[in-house]
Amino acid sequence: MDDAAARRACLAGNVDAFRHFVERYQGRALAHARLLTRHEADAADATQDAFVDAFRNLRTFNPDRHFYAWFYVLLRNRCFKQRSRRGTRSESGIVPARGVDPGVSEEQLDLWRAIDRLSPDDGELVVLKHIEGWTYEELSKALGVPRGTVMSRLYMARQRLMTLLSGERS
Amino acid sequence: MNPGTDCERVRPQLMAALDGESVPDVADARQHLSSCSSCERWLKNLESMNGRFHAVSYPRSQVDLWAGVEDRIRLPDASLTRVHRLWLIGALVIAWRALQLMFDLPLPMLHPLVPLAAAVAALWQISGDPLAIETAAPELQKRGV
Repeated sequence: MDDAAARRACLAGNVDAFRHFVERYQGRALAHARLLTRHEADAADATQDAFVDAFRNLRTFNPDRHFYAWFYVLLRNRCFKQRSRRGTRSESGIVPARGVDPGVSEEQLDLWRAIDRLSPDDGELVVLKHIEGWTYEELSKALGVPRGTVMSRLYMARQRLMTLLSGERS
Repeated sequence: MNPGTDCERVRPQLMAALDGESVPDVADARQHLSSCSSCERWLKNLESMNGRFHAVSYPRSQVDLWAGVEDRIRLPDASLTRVHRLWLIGALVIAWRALQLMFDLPLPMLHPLVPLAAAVAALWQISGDPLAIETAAPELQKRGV
């Protein structure tokens, strides 16, 4: 089933069809929520809330667009709510655990460790750009800032990441 | 060595060009690049860092959210929309005023804004800020995301 078919089925009253979206996107959504909240339980709560929001607002999702770009705005709102409820306390990082991810290479771990040391906002930009491959236009829509701001913030975030990675090498 | 003002100006443009984005002053930036070894080195470092992301995937998660999501989406949506909340506040105020008129309650006994404030506070507690601007769905529609 693809996203458009799942959407149609959900709108026709088939609640089970929404499982398609949860199973397909929960992995990356949880990773992004962990990045934004830096808290394992908050990330799971925010992601679950965002999926419930997505189900209730599914009618507003334009199937010609990518589901995740639409969903990401809901997820981000939920993460910010969770973050403001929790304050600045951060309990967990985003670095993959060896036991959970046995296939992860040392180089990947270094990169995740460096991203973990960035601020949540910088980390978000770096991940959305480098792993999701979003364009500046897509970033601008999802983050609600002008394209020029995306460019300057991304530049600063990459500068910081380069510094962290060069420090790790030396 | 710290980059100069020109370097700081052109580097975001070089970065955007490397990302495949359209950059208005890219010719200017490339001209600077051809004569600046510091920016040349910086761009190589950036390319090398970008390359490190090719093999990166998200950490696997053992959390499965479907059961929790399913429980909630099968329940009827009990949350009040902003329009419903405003209707409710309006209805409470009208009811209060009607009671005042029906039972001829003297106005100074209770300032007419008190029940409104009480209604807003009660709704705030029950379902969040009743006057909040909902950014989720309407915002998405507006932006066409």
